[in-house]
Amino acid sequence: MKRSSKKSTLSPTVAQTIPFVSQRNVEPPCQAACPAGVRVRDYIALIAQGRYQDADSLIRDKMPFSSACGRICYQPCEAECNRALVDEPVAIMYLKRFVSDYAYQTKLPLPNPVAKTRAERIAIVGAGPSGLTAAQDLAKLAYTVTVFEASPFPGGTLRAALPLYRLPKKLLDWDIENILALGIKLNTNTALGRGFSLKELREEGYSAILIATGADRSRKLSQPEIGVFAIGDSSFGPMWTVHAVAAGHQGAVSVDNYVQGKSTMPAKANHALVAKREKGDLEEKVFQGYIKPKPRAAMPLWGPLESIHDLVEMELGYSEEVALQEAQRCLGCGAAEILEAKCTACLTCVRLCPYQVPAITPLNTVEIRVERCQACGVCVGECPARAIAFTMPGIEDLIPQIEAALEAKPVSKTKPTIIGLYCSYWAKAGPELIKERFPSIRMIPLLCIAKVDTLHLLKAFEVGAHGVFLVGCEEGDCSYQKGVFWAKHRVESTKKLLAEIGLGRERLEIYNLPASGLEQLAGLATEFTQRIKQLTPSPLKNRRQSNDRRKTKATV
Amino acid sequence: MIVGKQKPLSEIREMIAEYQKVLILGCGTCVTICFAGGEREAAILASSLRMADKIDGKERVITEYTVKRQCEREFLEELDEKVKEVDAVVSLACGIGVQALAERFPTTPILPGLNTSFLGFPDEHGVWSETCSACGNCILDQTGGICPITRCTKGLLNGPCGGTNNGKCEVDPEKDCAWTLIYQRLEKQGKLDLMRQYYPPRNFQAVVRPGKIRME
Repeated sequence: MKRSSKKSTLSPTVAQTIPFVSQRNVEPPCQAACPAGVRVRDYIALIAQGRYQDADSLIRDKMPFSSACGRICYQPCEAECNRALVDEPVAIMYLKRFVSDYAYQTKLPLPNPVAKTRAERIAIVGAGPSGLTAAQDLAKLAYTVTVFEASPFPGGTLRAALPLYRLPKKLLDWDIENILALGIKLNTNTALGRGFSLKELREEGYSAILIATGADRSRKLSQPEIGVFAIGDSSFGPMWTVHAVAAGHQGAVSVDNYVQGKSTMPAKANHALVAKREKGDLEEKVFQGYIKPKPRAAMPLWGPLESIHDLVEMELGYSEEVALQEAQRCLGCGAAEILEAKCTACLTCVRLCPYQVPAITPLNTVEIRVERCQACGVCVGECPARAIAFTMPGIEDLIPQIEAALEAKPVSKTKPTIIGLYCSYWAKAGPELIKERFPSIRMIPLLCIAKVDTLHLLKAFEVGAHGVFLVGCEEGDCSYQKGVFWAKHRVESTKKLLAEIGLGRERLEIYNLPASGLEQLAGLATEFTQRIKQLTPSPLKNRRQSNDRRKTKATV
Repeated sequence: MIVGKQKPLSEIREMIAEYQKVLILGCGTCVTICFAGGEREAAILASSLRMADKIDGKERVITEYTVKRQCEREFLEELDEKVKEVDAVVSLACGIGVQALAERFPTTPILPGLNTSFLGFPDEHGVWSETCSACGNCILDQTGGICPITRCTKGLLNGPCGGTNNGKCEVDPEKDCAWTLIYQRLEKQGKLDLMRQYYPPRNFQAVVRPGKIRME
């Protein structure tokens, strides 16, 4: 997921630092349904926060043909989306397309080449979706990968069979550029059996050969031999692109296992609990007003009169505003999990969850009932044992985001360093607008500021913020129950700590404003900046003098 | 369970004043449950101390860690290397944990980061009440399951005293009169005659301090 360090116009991105480590005992149904294993819920959450670059990296990790899949997938994810039980499924495919279009249009930097720290070389025959996916995975595992393609261009069926009005070629090229940028060598016009044979490849010293030639016509592969693997249409017959990509991942695993001398049988599938929601519970939440029905955003189309003149795409794609709104329809299924080894059954979550989701099991352990969880995050910040994992981008990576924001260059020598944690549901604005409005404040999006915990706030000061404010919805507008209450509660208790520490309460503030009140916030932020400026220099001095950041990181 | 309350930051800072490397050690059981010394509180304390140090220009290394229970020798084994690296440990366990640590690491000062307050249970989120004094001579069978030794401010065995006031205590009007509670409970159980029982002066030798129990 590494991206080159070229700065984009976005707020500081953290794609380089976020491991997206997750417990993965619970899986949202959208992700469970995706043959390629794309982290659907998580990239939707990133879009909902305006973190498009991070979303793009996350998608491409499992779905390298993101532009294509954002247009022509058969959407098994949407068929399983729990939101369908409320109104309509989240428009996952269109959102994926929005991100890849955004990456293409804003020319997000290509990934850096991966250092080839492994001695083995891998040959892949066929530069279609399967072959290039396997190439990407193996390159990320630090192998030297060479792809041989019979035709003059890579892309396989996606290039050969899809009409221009479904998938513009430049976007397919962009997908492939992203893959090859990892340091993969591509030889086009090189057909197996016509310029080279498997035997020759082996003689040239390739440790393994992966055949992913597709099946545009019937053919029979020769007798399998050790170290030669066949995947995709060439072995199973024609399939959807997403299955071809899945086959590519599988092929890469087999090759890696083979090279390492392990069993080449694919590892047993991880039987995660799928967070399928309860229809009755969702209906009740709609009835109680906890979930507000909101129709799925329609895809804008060219009219027939415009489209007959050219082979341009019929579907125009979402605007940023529509994409943000659509992504914010996601229910965040299966985000919170109990870490059993840490849970001491204190029952705090059971008592505090606004939706009565955590429950005591017959074994007297505590369980978060995934079929009911709303992903509000209140339990996470209150758990005294830190035994609740929140596996969605937004909490699990908040500290790296804060650190990344503070590592960015000072905006000006005279302005204090201020972090603004804002609710994306409240702001209803993308990162560029936010940055434009608040150029001197390091603004970090969240899906509700009740996801911010005392420790996050302390950390922000510890790594160098002079002032921190939170901004989110007014009571009654919050997307969750009690979000305003908990955000205020945490700010208050952190203020007490700041006073004890000697930093002073005034360095932290919370604003609950009417929806999209950026104008109003502008005034308050100026006032806050003035206040902090009067308090500055921060008693914490220059954070670069601090030598204990690395030491503390492991425990956070 | 054991209920504790973290000491004020200033007091902890005084305790660690002379040390350069300090480990903040949380405990994963009772004090976690009462929000005084679990993993989260250990992290908050460590962060607070680091900042307070920085404000004072002190170069001190503060790390944090949490074990399952500080009052078990086996759970302390994993600390051997960690404790070697520091000058002192601030234990966020109850007094039992502090002493268990001090026994395992006799050359390292183990400093109490919280005050062990009492044995009790939560009335609601964030509120705990003392209910047992661990006196070693339980009479709850005769007092309707309400301990007068602990919950009567005066610890009276033959209550109520003359100071009961509409169910509240004369010493602290915020607190319920334990003997009124006992009366009401016994009434519900049809055992009011137990109120007439006279308790002779209590044998405080039932548990000789320090207590010791051997399982038979």
